[in-house]
Formats: sequence, C-alpha cells, structure tokens
Amino acid sequence: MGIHKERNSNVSGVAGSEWLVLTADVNQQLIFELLQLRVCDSKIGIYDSAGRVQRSYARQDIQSLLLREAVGGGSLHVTTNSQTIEIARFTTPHMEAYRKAMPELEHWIHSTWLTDWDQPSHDADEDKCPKCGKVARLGVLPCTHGKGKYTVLQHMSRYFKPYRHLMLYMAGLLILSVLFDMVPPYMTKMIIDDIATPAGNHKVLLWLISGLAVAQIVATGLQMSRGYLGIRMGGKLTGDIRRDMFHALMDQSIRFFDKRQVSQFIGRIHHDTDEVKHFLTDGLIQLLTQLLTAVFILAMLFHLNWKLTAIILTPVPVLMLGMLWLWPKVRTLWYAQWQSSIIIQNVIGEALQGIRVIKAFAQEKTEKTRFNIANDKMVQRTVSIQSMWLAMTPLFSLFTSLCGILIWYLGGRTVLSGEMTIGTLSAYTAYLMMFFGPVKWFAQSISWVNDAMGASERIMEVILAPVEIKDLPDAQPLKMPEGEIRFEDISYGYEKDRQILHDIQCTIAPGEMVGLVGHSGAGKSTLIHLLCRFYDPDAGQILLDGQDIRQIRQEDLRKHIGVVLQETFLFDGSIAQNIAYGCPDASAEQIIEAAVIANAHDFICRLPDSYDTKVGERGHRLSGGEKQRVAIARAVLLNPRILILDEATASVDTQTEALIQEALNRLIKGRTTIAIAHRLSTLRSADRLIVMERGRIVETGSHFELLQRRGLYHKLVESQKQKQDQDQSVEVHIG
Amino acid sequence: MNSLPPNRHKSGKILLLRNREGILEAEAADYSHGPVQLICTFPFSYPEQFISVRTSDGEEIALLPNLLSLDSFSQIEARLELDRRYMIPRISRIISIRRKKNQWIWIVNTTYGDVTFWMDHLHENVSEINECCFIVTDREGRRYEIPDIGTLDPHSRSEWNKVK
Ligand SMILES: Nc1ncnc2c1ncn2[C@@H]1O[C@H](COP(=O)(O)OP(=O)(O)O)[C@@H](O)[C@H]1O
Ligand SMILES: [Mg+2]
Repeated sequence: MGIHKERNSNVSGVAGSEWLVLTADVNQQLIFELLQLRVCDSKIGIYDSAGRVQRSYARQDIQSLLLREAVGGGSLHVTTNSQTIEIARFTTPHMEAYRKAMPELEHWIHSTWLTDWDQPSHDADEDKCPKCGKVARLGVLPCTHGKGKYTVLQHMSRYFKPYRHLMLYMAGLLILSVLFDMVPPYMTKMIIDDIATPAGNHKVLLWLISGLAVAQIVATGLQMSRGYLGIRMGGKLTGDIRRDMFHALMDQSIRFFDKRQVSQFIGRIHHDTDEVKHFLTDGLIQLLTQLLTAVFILAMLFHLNWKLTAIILTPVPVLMLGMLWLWPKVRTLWYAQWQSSIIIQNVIGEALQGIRVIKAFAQEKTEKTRFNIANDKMVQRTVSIQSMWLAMTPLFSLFTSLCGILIWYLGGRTVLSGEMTIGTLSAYTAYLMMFFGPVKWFAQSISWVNDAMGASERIMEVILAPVEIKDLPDAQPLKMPEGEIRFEDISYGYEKDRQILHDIQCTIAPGEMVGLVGHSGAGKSTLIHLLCRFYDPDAGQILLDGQDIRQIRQEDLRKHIGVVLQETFLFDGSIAQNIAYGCPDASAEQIIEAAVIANAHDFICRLPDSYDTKVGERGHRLSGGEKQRVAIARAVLLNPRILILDEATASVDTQTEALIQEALNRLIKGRTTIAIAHRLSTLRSADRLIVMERGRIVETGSHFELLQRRGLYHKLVESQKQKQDQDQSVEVHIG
Repeated sequence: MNSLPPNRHKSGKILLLRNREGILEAEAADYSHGPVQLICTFPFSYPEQFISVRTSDGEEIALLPNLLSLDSFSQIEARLELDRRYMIPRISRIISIRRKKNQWIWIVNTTYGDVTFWMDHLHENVSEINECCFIVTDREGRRYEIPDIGTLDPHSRSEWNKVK
C-alpha cells in the first residue's frame, strides 16, 4: 500500500532514547494515515509523518496498556487517570509487531525510573521484506516485487536447455524452408518475363518448371520434418513442465492448500501446460517462420521495387500502434477467461467431492444452477474474445485486398511507363500477398501469445511459489530420538488477526503418555499440527530432545512421528499397500503383524480378497472403525518414537472402540504419546492430562489430581458422566 | 425448532453505554452486565442486523435483530464500537484495476479514504461472499469489502467487469 511505503524512514534520525517504534496506519477518524508510535524512556507518543507529535503520555501517568484485537487490525489503548484512550490503531500486517512489543511495554510501564529497565534493542517491524516493506506473510504466493516478465521467461527458458541441439536443427530447417518458400514467385517472374515471350526457349521452360516443382517438394518436406521435431520437443517439454508443477505442489506446506480450492490444480496442471505446448509446437515455429518470411519478403520487395514498397509500408506503423494498444486488453481478456474456467473447475470439483451431501439434501438443482451460472460466464467470455478476432480478420482481409488493388494500379502505371516488367509486377504482388500473410498472422498471434504467456506465468506461479515451511540449509538429520517434547512459549494463529494458541508451555517426558483434553475448538489439534510442523509457530519454539524442530529435516521428523487422525484417507490401492504407506518396502509378514497388533487382521481376512482388497476411491469401502484400524496398522508399521492420536476413536461405536483401544494400548508402549480424545474415559491410562481452554493450558495433572482440583477437567468429566447416565437410562428403557 | 437458551434479553430492553473509562457496557432491566463486546454475526451480508452482545468472557446476553431496535444513544455507541471492531474498509468507487509487471494495482475510494494497493494475483485475492458482495485482499493481508458491485457507479462496474 502506497501510504505505508515510507515507514520507519526517520527512525534513526530522532532522539536516541526511543527504544520502540511501531507503525500505526489508521488515525482516530478511521482514515488511513501513516503515523508512528514512538516510545522512549519517559513517554509514549503518536507522531504524524512530518514528525509532529499528536498525543503523548508520560510513563508515570500510565496505569495500564491494553492491546485490543479487532477484525482486520487492532488498537492500543492507554489508561491514565482511570480513563482509557485509544493511542494507536493499525491494520492486520502490523498486529504481530504489537503483540511482540506488549510484554516489553508492560515491563516498561511497571519498571521504576530507569533503574531496572534495560532497553531492548530490536525493531518490532523486523518481519518485513527489506526491499518492498512487505510483511513476510505466510501462505501467500510469491512476493513478486522485482520479478517481471523477464524472470518468467528466464525460468521458462530453463526448460529449453536440454533441447538446445534439437532447436538448432529446427532453426536451420526453418531458415531453409523459408528460403525455399520464396523461390516459386521469383521463378514465376522468370517464366513470365524471359520464357513467355515469342522468343522463349522450350527447354529452359522445362527446366524452370521442374525447378519449381522441386522447390515445392523440398519446401513441403522441410515443413514436415520441422513439424515432427516441433511436436517431439513440445511433447517432452510439456512433460517436464507438468512434472515440475506436480512436484512443486507436493513440496508445498499444508498452508498452501488450506487457502485454496484444490480442484483447480487438476485443471491447471493440464490446461496451462497444454496451452504452452500448443504455443511451443505450433505457435513458436509459426511465429519464427512468419517473422523470417516477412523479413525475407520485405528484402525481396525492396529489391524488386523500393519506391512501391515504401508506399505500402506507410500503414505499418499504424498497425503496430494498434497492436500495442490491443496487447494489454487482450491479455486481460484471456485472464478473465481463464479465471472463469477455474471457477468452473472448482464448482465441478466441489460438487463431485460433496456428492453424498448433495444427494442427501437433494440439492442437485442448486448445484446445477451454480454450474450454469459459472458456465454462462465462461461462454460469455469466450464469445467476447472470439468475436473480437472475428471482427478483426475480415477487416484485415479488406485492408490487404485494398493494398493489392492499389499495387495493381500503381504497378500497372509503372509497367505502362516501361519502368517495370509485367513479370516483376506479378512477382511483386505475389510477394506482397505473402507478406500480408505474416502481418495478418501477427495480429492474430497477439491473442495466442498472450494466452500462452498467461499460461506460463501461472505455471511459474505454482512452480516458484515459495514453500512456507522449508528445511533450513543446516537442518540436521534425526537419529532415533528419545522422544522428549518441549513446547516453549508457543503462540500461533492461522490468520494474523486471530491468535489461536497463546503462550503454550509444557514438557512431555520420553515414553510418557499425555492426554490432551478440552472443548472442541480449544486448539488441541492445532498444537499437534505445530508439533508435526505442518505450520510454524508465530512465537516460541518446539524442542524435540532439546533440539528445535525447525533444525530437523522435515522428512526425518515426520518419520519419527506417527499420526492417527479421526478421518483416515485411504489411497487407491490394496489394503496391504495402504498399511505399508509409510514404509513401502515392508514385507508381507510385517504387514500382517502390524494388522494383528492393530486388531485389523480379522476383519481384513473376512474381506473377499483379504489383504489384496482394493480400497480407496474405487473399490471396496471400509467402515469408519475399519479404516481407523488400517490407519493404526500404518502407524504400527512406521514404528515411530512419537505417537499422536487425534480423536482416533471418535467416530466409532463403543464395541469397535474397545477393539481400537486395545490396539492403541499395544501401540503406545514405549513411545511418547499425545492422545486427544473426546471420550475422557479412553484417557484413563494416560500418565498425565493436559487441559486446554481457548488456546491456553489451564490445568495439568493425573486424572485424580485434576478431579480433586475441581476445575475444568472436573466439569468435563461430570458433564460426560451425566450424558452417559442418560444414555444408559435410555438403553434400559429400550431394553 | 429448538427453543433458545435461557438467560437472554429481548433487544428492546438492552441499553448500551460507556463507562467512565470509555468502555462499552450493557444494562438490561436494571441489571448491569459490565463490559460487553459486540459481534456482527453477518458482518458482510447484514452489517447492521443480528448483532450479538456478549460479556467480556464471551457469553451471549442478547442477539439484537437490528441496531434500529436500540434507543438512539445506544445506537450511536453500538455503531462507534462496531466501526472499531470491524476494520474492513468498504470500497465505494473503483478508479482503476490495472496490471503492472506481475502486480495488480487497485486505486479505490473507500470508507477509510483513498487507497492504492497491490496484490499478486486476482484469482487468489478476490473472494465471493455472495453474488454481489466481494472481499479483496491486498498483498499484505488487509481486506477490503465491496458490499454490492451492482450499486457501484458505471465506471467502477466497468473496471470490475474487465477483470472479473
Ligand atoms: N486451517 C485452519 N485455518 C484457520 N483456522 C483454523 C484452522 N484449523 C483450525 N482453525 C481454528 O482454530 C481453532 C482451534 O481448532 P482446533 O485446534 O482444531 O481445535 P480442537 O481443540 O477441537 O482440535 C478453531 O477455532 C478453528 O476454527
Ligand atoms: Mg481437533
């Protein structure tokens, strides 16, 4: 945003005692204005961009400071004299800086005059990109500052590298074939001028005619081989691009997919690469051919009659300008068209993924309407693009024919005056028509090129999207860990204006089983996600055996963490393949053993094809409890040091739960385990319980300690007991 | 239909006022609830309706069907509070949406003044709330609301239609 650009410009220029400068970009009238909140030893004040103070408060007058988080931003309030006044207001990007500054500000107002106060010396806005002042916001596609078209082209050209030689051949063929294309009209001229006269020579005519035929044949042959090479290269190249797109998607962090409808990527990988392929196989060759042809023909035209040529070329600059004017418009048109195709894809993807819900609620009609709206929009876009060219092409033809007529007139006069032979004139017009071919083609190619460029940009957008959670270059491999987990002052929010976890602090000993309880939405799963490093915390660190997990290679980290979630995804494949998902080289014995431990062996044996039964998208579908046991077998086979069970038994009946529980108890032995369970009874065996509420840990202790404390855990247990009693009485009535 | 949980007030009986410290409080039937917060349950679809009044620890004490059902003083306080709780500028006019290099530049008039902002891709940063209401997110994560594209002036609409 423009108004935030000159942020912090004069931080170092003002009194040296300022230890904190924060940006406040909204004034009290709720209008964007760039202000600064400056804090020095004795006071806090808000300054406008010219450095004038607007309001300030002496430290000894301040009773308290309060950070209020709003939607889309927040505000800082001071209380003096029992009056609370808003001192600074800011938008979301600055939130984190204020959050970080709060403990220091608290410390500052409560410290006595300059005695126990040592200034922290950090810039609270440190998270920003030094180049453009952009906050390093996560889950956002690349900060493209400074990355123009050039970089996209540069990156695209990487794909051509392996085909350098092939391309050289093609260029050679291209020049040759263009040259051969030029021969026929000139020969015609020779035939007309030299042979088709009363003194003409029959033998020479035969030679010339056969030459003409050979030229045609050679030109066709060249064209064919060129086309073949182009197709080969284009095919391979798009294969490479598709591969890279998919790999890039696989490397992305969870965050990337949280924010997007994923159905679009199926289409994007397909459609965008196809677009580029068309351009490479047809378009690029055409473009070069036409360009070369145009240059050669122009040279020939000048050679035949430079005066006429100069006259003809006068409208060309006008055409050029027209194209320049058209260029960005066409680009936007294509982009809009592409956007509507993405919307269609998302509608289809969503409808298919949710087909059961759609059927259950009988909403087929609504979905059809939704699709029709998206479809109509796309049709409208397509029509508007194509009708644009539809209008262009006849206009262009008209223009060229008018030019031709003009030439016949002007040329005819020169022929009459004896300055030019009739053969030259006919060759001239033939060349002229050939020249307008490329020119006409260029006009159309604006559309093509724009489409292809847009596609390659979007391809690069996916391939170059920075991975949010990356392995550090000095990340360590992880050997068999002991399994001690420590959360140190963890804060995290999926969105910057809503913090979910606040100052989480706890240590889990190696081999300990910890139950994580709390109302749904308390942040239990979020904590687990941070441990798996699906996301990185905003503040604080997570230590595994005393080592920050950011220092560990992600692959190693996840190899030692086994996760069983409430919902299990089974891949398209056999049950055996699904169990062995984490360790593909497991033997059949190992797979069966894992299934036995997971209490899955029996039900698998009852399936028609036992371990070879197809599951997943197509094929046999398993029940919730069965899927769950496959997931447990997966974890067993992985043999991780750390085990995470997130509501692993939430979606099954009590009897199945007993089976699963039994399997889990076997699995837990000797591993550091964090179990989240909805039914508190399943956590009886836990060494310790951690109770969370609204993103904070409120209690920890054993089941009995917590019951005695009569806090939140007690309440949770009581409410479940009541419910159980009710259920039982219902059962009795029914029974 | 399930019956509503007890412990809630009809909106007509709620008064909103500021205490000496400038914090919003609610009073109902000669009982003071102390500091409250207001939450728009439909911040985009119905910004002035269905306002949830909650105590500082998040318990709902009333759901106002409409701000207009409050007395005029409470209304003023409520608007003041809501404007400060929902800092999403509303776009009132689109001067231009242009593409430069790899950035889209929006020049707009909003309830927070005239702004120019950048975004990387239109297709990821414009999201639809309903057919005519859109949320636009800039490069740094600020959100702007287009309450109803149909009611904008023709110039704004043509700028919008070019790209969307
Ligand atoms: N991917 C996400 N993006 C944004 N918010 C999320 C996401 N996942 C969870 N949340 C929010 O985080 C809070 C905590 O969720 P979670 O950790 O899943 O709770 P639980 O304790 O039930 O496992 C919830 O309020 C939820 O709305
Ligand atoms: Mg959960």
